[in-house]
Amino acid sequence: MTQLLNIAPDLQRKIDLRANELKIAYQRDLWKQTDRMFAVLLLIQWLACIAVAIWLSPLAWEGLESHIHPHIWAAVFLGGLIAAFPITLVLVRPGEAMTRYVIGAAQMCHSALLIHLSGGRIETHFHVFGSLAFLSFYRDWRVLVPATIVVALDHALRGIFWPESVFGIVAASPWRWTEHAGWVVFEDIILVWACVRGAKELTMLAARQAELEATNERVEAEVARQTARLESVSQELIGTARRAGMAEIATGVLHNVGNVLNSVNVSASVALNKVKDSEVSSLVKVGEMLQTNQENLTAFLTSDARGKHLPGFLIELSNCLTKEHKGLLDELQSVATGLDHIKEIVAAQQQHAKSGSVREKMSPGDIFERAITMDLGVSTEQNLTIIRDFQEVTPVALDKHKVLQILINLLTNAKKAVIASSNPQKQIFLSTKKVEGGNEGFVRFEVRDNGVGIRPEDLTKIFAHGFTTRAEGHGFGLHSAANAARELGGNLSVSSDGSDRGATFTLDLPLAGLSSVEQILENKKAR
Amino acid sequence: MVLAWGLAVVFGMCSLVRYQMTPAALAQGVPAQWPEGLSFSRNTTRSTLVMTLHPECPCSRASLSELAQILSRSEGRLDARVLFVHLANAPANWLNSDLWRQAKAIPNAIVMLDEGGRDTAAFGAITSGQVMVYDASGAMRFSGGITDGRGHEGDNAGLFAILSLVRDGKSQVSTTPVYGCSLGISKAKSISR
Repeated sequence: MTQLLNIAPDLQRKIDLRANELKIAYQRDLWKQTDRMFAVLLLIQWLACIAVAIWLSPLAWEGLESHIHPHIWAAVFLGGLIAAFPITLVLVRPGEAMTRYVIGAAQMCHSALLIHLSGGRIETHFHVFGSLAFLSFYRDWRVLVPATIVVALDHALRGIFWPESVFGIVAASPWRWTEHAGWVVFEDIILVWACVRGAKELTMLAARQAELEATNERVEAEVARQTARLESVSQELIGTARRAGMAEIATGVLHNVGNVLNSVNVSASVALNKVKDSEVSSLVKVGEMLQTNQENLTAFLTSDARGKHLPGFLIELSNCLTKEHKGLLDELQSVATGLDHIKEIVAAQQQHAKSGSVREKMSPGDIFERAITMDLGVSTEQNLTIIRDFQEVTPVALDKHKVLQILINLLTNAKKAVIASSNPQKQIFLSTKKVEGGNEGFVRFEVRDNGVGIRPEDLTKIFAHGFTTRAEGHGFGLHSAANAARELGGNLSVSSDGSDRGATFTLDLPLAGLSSVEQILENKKAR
Repeated sequence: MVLAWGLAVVFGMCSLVRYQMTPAALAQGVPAQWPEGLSFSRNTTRSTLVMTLHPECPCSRASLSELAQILSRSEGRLDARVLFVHLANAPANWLNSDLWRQAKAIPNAIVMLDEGGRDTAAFGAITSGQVMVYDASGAMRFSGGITDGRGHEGDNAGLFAILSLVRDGKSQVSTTPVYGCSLGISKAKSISR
């Protein structure tokens, strides 16, 4: 089997060592357990001896006079002596070889005592064979040796010194004790075989257990490795999704900046054209004309046809230049406004980028406003109406970075949905409120639009990685948002009545207090 | 420690065996012929066995077991009389014993009450479990115990001797030790009869 599995030699050595350890442990447990069983059995046998003595021979008689029968004293003291020492060894040295050898001898002594107390009943002799069978529970054939020696010695010595006490007749053969011991040896042969077989089974069990453990270790290591790999891939996927989400946010920001830059560019072009077409050149010509005629300026203004028209021309030129100036100021103001807007967007993005995963207390309405600033700032040009319904919710601990990431994704989607819709009233409804649930309730962010809506069959896939309904979409944004919601312990859900029926995205985030570290940071910020 | 324990156990077992193997006093003056004046008579066509018992003697339980063996193996060629000694001043429940019930349960054994131990004394028996066997002519052929130890069941010299007498009419053993409680009948009384 080992060869079939092609186990490395080092691993096989490790398995063999472990198998040996297990075998020793199994044997020790078995021996201790059997020791305890015999301790109880010896105690019971002792009590049984006393009970038998009291039952069968309570008193010895001399006519009408009686006294306690010597069997009772024998049961109490000799029986106690036989049982006490092995029981003590079980308590003091459980599992040791000497303990079970003494138990083996004691068990046979108990057999002899019981046979005596029961009046030599042949049935009581079964105790010897039963005890030998019990001793084989140790699965150690050596235990049978002291037990057999006790039986053999008992019969041999009594056969020699009191043959009638064993065989009933004085003239029995001096070797007849071997017949009695022979039956014990007969059982011993069977039990020794059973013990050796039992020990082998124990060894096999230990070997199998060791192999199983080694296999389990390998499987666990492989599972741990695969789990780590899965975790790594999962983290990578989350990171990718997050980066994709961030790229989408950046795209949105750049789009807004681009829109603003268009406005700035238009204003700048208009200003440039106005400067190019300025009437300032006419003023230069007037200046040159006046310089040419400066020595005869009065005659020029009164007699020359051009001089006569010059005051009126200057008045008109003044009006034109005033108009031009106003136009240029307007365009420059527009450029300044656009640049300010870009500054705001960039500042908001920088603020967003700086924020970490540490939560801070903030109003749900405020974080919605920040998301609006980052994502919808210039969309009002496209007749987009944003309707707010921010209920008064006390500041809650939120991971601003992730919440913004989610809300911006939702707002971007809502904006694209209403722009793509044929509905002339392009509206996005934003709401925040506190809802019951969980330990301390949830804060709910809702982004509802009257845009193109979502088909029922797409609802279940809307958060799937790579799924998108837009030709230019990547399918990362909502997937990333849903992941972020889960990371925050919350939930992002969607509902829609179908195509062109709008859609509602609901973000529920648990209301929870700040951690101790977050509280310190919050206090520091407050100071 | 183990050796000390082993020696102590060996000493205890030896003491027990010694007690078990120490016989009681032998019957004195067992009549060689069936005594006269008994409350019961012997069988004149076959051997008659008489066993005397103390109703409470625990050791005699083994004797009764062996008697049952003998009767069973003698195949109806032996009459058995079991005498329970009823001593004067004995308590009222004196005969309400396991031994009495055990004796009554033996087939072909006649269980009798020996008031004051008179019949028992006539046989010179002083120990519970004492057995006497008289042949058809009234001659005493065996006197002794039918256990090999105090209250110890199993094959024994007395059993073999009686079976031999019943089957072959002769036996090399005519007396064996008796193991049992004292019947409480004085030796003098038994001898005087």
